[in-house]
Amino acid sequence: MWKWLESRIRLQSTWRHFLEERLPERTGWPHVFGSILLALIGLQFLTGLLLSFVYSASPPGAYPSVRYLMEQLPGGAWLRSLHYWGASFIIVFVGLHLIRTFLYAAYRRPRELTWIAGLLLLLCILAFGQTGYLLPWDQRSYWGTAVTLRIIETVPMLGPKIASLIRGGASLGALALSRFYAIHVVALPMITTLLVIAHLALLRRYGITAPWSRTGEEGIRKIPFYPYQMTRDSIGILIVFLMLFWLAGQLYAPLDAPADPTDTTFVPRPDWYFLFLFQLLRYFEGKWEIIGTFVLPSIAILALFLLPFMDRNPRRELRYRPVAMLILLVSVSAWGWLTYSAVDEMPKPRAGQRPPGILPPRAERIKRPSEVGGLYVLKQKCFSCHSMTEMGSRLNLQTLVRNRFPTGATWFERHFQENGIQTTLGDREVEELMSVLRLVAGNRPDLLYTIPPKARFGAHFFYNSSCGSCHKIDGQGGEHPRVTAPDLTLRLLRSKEWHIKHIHDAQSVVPKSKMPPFFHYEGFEYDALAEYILYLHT
Amino acid sequence: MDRRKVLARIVQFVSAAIGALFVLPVIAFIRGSSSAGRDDGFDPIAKIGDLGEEVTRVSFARLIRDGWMVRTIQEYVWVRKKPDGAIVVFEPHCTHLGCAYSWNQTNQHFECPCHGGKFDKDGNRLAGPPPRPLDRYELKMEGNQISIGKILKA
Repeated sequence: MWKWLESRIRLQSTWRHFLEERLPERTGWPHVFGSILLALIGLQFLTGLLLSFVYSASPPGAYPSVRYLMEQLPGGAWLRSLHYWGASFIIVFVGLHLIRTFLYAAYRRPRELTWIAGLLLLLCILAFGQTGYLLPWDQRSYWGTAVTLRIIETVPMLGPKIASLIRGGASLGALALSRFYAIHVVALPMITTLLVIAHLALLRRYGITAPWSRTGEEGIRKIPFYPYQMTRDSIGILIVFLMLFWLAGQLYAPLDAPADPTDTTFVPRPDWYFLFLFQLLRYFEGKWEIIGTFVLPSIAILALFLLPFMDRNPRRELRYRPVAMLILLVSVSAWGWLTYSAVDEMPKPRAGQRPPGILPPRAERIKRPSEVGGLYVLKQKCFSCHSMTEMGSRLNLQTLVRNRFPTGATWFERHFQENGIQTTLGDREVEELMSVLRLVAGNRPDLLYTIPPKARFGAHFFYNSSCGSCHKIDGQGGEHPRVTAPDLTLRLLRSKEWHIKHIHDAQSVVPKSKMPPFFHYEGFEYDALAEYILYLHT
Repeated sequence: MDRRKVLARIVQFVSAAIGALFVLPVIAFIRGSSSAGRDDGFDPIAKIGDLGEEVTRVSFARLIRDGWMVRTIQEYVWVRKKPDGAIVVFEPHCTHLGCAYSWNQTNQHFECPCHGGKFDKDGNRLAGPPPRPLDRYELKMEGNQISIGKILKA
């Protein structure tokens, strides 16, 4: 069978031929970037394929499907983060690859086309980044893309036409999303594959440029690609992959609130590799804007394409190419400086500052009844004097509790007495306050603001009505020695009405249920309990 | 071993290592993304009083988890009320290749249009290629209420 295949399509000999490519003997570590890029692109294809198993490209479907992928599927968050960070890694290694090629002057005769194929690949990769950015259909991607399209509209003459062609109409909606998806997963992968083949075939045909040497290209000894250079390549790939795998496990790809076209407060920011453009636009205003949006980027790209034809310097060693070195230095530092100042000018979130009211993913939410309910008690008992942010001469609550954390019921009693406050706290309320103040003293007090108001009271009621003696939530509760009720962080697919009915009389909806009926609550209490449970479940 | 062989082993080892790092998460992911389905539990379908004939087609709505969606789907079952009052609920697809069969009132048969499978009103195979009698649903009766659970294969 193998022999038959081999005789028909010469698989093995082709592979051998590929492996036995002759390389200049002193080819070394600087030449691993190309192989690393190839491996990273392969990884993007694989992770992209897996993501598209789940992703749904429509405005109502996109966000929930990505959220489902991130929260429900084993390994889903990691795979999406691999895809997300993989894109950034590709940009980094494209940069290194490009600079290495420039330093070796490898774009010169006869390798102009290898260089041009490479530049076209660079454009493809940027297009991948732009189109992929929109797909999660969250605030970040929606508004980011809206700005990109506005930038395209500034292109003279054709701009508005191109923008509306990309959008598929006047507004950013279903058609735009489908188009971006099709370009991202069909058109660009095909074009990229062809360009990669062309890039490699040209590389094979004209060979790689040897490192600088006095003897010139002719007199250099050659060694086969496999296993000498391939060992370096695979070690390089392994190191990069390990870094990427680790990063994807540490920092998940962001997923913002769902896209809201009516929001007026959201400030979009592009991915880090486009930040320099974002910053550049700040320096060109009014009718000069077009210089930043169109003229400068076009000049830069054009210059790169024309480089092999403009560079007439016969020497390759760096010290004989002062102008080229100066251009490289200026471009890299300009890019670095623009990126740095964009990051520097980014507003930094302060502790205790209110986030834009986004419900965080289920896994990150504050769930425990004493903590969620604690916020309710905090509001009732503390906010007449204290606040979460600095107000006038008053210290914020975080600074206060970090300096002097309450010790318990007697502490609160004394504290109220000293300040002339007429109020009392039940035992449970003291526990709730202590729980929530621990969060206030912690690093993410802003997460407290993401708890919907109705859930706070529901949790408070839950905690004070001893629901928690049977039910466990996020490790809290369930102390009852003989009864084990379901853990309420488990996800159930039920409506609010169902939950209200269930609390009222569990057997009416789950006939075999062992949960006793609770007839004696008020209407708003049922409502709040159901809201709290929905907050845990959805 | 010479230098060439050692280097070749390194290349092979590294490729295998990268592959291995990937395999488990990818398998878990693919399995996870295909394990969508209904809630385990019973869904009420009808009240006994609603069943007119001996064999009735009963439609009902069911809440299912469908990937990232939670949605209501319309389903139906064939319900047989025996003369002694016992209830049997049939899964409405032929046990041969899954076509939808229907009830022929005149012949008192369930008939599958695809390959001529025939079943009697208790679901036993009478003719055609089906390998086993009709599948039934696990049943639960609470007073008047009929609820169905898992599919039981004969």
